[in-house]
Amino acid sequence: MTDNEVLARYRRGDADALEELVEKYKRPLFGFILNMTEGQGEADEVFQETWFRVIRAIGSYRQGNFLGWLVRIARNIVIDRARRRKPEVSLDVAPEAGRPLEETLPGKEPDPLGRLKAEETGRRVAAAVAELPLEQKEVFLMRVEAELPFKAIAAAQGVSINTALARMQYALAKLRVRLRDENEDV
Amino acid sequence: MLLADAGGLTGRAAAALEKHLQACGACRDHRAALGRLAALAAANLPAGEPGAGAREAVRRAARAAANAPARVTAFPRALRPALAYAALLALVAGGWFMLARERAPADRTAQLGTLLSMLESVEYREAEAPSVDGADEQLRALARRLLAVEGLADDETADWETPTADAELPPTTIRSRSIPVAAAETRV
Repeated sequence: MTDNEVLARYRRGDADALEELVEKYKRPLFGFILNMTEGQGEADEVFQETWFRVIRAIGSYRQGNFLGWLVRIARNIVIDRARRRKPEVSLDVAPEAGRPLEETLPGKEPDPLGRLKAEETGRRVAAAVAELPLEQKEVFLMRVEAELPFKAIAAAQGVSINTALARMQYALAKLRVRLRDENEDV
Repeated sequence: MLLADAGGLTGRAAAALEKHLQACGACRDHRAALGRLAALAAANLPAGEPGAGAREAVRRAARAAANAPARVTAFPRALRPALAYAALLALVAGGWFMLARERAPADRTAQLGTLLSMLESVEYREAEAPSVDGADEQLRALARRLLAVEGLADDETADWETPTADAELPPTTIRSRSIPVAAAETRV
């Protein structure tokens, strides 16, 4: 059943239909939101606000990439919140954001050295992505986290496909330099 | 290559790219490196799921909204024209009341004109609506009353400015607003 068919069911009053879409897209949508915000708490707020807006505007959605529409709404919410935020608060993702303190400490599992290395890699990747310019970070996360096609990414950002592609190219080039130490293959 | 890897390249363009990649080792290496980089990022970026509270809030909102249209459509369709009339009457009466509190005759005339144009612009197809006893006549009576109170009634009792010789004033300028409300109401 396509997304449009599920949406049609919801419009006819089948509340379970929307929950199917929430379940289907929760990981890619939340992955994007989590990396655009400052931790689980804010990401949860943006996630639910995204769906609230979807519910309010469900009648205006016609055809196209539904996940792209979700990400576009989430992006607008993140931008709105960033504009309202006090200037002294960083808009970048903190590497430790959203993780309980105990998870940031070395664990007792086997191969603590390997786990430490993996965690360090994760932190550096997150930090490198967080330092990207906003437009490039959006494109990168829409592509990598939400796996959106560039047509949907361009629509979400309100730019041409060429611009979205260029932003991805810039993002990858910067990440490649930043992460070369992590993996000599990149 | 980015577009192709995202599934956005098809047909001859995709075939041309593949042909080039077969012959160009540098581009192949570049494409592979980009893929590894994206994979590295995807594997190491913070991941998670929305909290139970957020999911429950969405679930409740979805259910509430799914039930809402049923309540709206359950409202008797036959009563909608009557409700529209009532709302229109309230709007016009409210506007008339506001007008009565104004002082400048020119402003009042302009506002009255706005109200009357709103009346005229209401799209209402009689053939599609059930009859509402007396509603049309009530509406017309109210409009006549408004006109009368403002000295704009289209009959011989209207108190119009007689154009003066020097014609300083426009012919539609209201000379007097001396018609009492009670007296005006007796004419309709």
